[in-house]
Amino acid sequence: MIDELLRPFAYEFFRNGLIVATLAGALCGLVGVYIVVRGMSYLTHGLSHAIFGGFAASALLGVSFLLGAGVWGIASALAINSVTRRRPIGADAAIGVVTTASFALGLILFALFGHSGASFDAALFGSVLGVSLTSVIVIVIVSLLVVVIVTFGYRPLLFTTFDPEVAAASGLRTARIEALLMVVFAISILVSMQVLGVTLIAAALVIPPTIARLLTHSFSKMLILSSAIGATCGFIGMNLSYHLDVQSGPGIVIVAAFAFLIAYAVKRPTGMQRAAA
Amino acid sequence: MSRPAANNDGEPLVRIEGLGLSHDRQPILEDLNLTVEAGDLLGIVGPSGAGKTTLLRTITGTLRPDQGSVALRSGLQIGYVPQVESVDWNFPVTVRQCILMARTSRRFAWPTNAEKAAVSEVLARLGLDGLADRHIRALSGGQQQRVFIARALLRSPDLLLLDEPTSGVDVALRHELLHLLEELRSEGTSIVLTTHDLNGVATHLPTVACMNRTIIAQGPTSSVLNPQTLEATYGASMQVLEHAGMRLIVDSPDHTHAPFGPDLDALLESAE
Repeated sequence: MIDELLRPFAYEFFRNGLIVATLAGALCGLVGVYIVVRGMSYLTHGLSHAIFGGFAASALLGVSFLLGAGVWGIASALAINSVTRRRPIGADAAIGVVTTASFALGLILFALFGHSGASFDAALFGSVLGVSLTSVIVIVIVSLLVVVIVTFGYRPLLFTTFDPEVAAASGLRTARIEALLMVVFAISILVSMQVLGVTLIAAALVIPPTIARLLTHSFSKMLILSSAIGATCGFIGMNLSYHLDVQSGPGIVIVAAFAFLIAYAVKRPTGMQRAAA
Repeated sequence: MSRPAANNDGEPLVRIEGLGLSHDRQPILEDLNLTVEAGDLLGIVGPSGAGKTTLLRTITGTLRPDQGSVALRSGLQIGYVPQVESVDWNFPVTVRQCILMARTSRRFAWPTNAEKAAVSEVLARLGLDGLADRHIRALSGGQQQRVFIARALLRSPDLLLLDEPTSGVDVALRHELLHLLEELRSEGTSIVLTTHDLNGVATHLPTVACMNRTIIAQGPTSSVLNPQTLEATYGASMQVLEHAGMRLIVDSPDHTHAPFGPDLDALLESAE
């Protein structure tokens, strides 16, 4: 039994995939807190689809996935932020327009110039097969960068998220902070997409913070809990996906969904919370 | 817009001259002049859409006027208390975290010993002892209002701006809040608040400004709150009644008004 559980660790691709999945889970759990408390869960779905357009374009142009999809994703994130701030359009509508157009463009590019198959499926549902040492290094660097931003910018980020008007009145440059957060969201999605896939990354960004919210009323504790839950789901889900011989994205998400069910059963929202919902 | 800072200590805290601001070509503020002196406890009243919140936002600098100037005294620290209706009460934040976020000079989550002491002091000052680790939703209405005042006070402001602090609160809470503001003023914090509560202003605040896109009158409450100014502000006739040394403002059903309104005692006697 133990031997069977440890068997995949003999493969380098699995070890790399496991590191990336665990870090991606923690990273998505961390940045997902800011997304969930802002009521912007739809953003995660939209941004990952927008980045898919960049994924297709980078494949077509023969440039690095991280470079092509990264530029594309950051541009989409800033476009959403800009449209939302300057026009009387809700964030959900701005996300709907910008990201579905980008996703559609990606599908067209794949249809005209690409080829559906393994890479297409991997982009949609995640795969550990292509996880290289470079992928590991990239996600380690991005994770450290995001932890530094969240740690050193804790109060400005919290103030801007909770009460942007008073934060601005208190001298914070809230427009820049909002833009920084959008870039953080885009980069985090980008480096996590490889193992989680376009269609399922939203769950990794939303489920751990939602579980953490059920367990605490404290913002700082929620950040820590959500990261830990995300990492645990990534680790267990990756192992599950190997043993069930399914893609990594569904494996991780199904573990997270199961964890949510347990947390929800144990910590049901109180009457007051339900009334406020 | 110009935001020059006045340098002399004898200068007003805020001097607004010829302020104009539009949104989608609709004027919100027009040729508005207002002065806030050190030690003021000023209520700004006016109908919905009069531009009261917009005026506060121009003072905090979050809105840039199209015309005119907002001059703040050099080094002026402003504390801003938003309408509690705008707060997301489900947000995962404790009272301590809510108050500390205002200390933006430090960026980390964990507070210094000096900050812990400052939070304890402001919580005690506002009667919120022992609530530091409560979620903001798990507080009474009055406590919730005071948490946001505490957050503003943690910045040691010279001027406290409150947007509709009496909105949606019952009589006891309103009384408690206005007394708290009087105490803060006596301790040296100048205060400007917007409100729809004309009777609260008439009873508790020494100075008032009536506005409807521009300042119609500013000065001592006893002289500004008269039927003519109120009609010019609200576009509706109102009576100002006197009873036991207090002023009461009521709607006038017949659209007629005496220059200063009848005495309430006389009115009650005549009714008997």
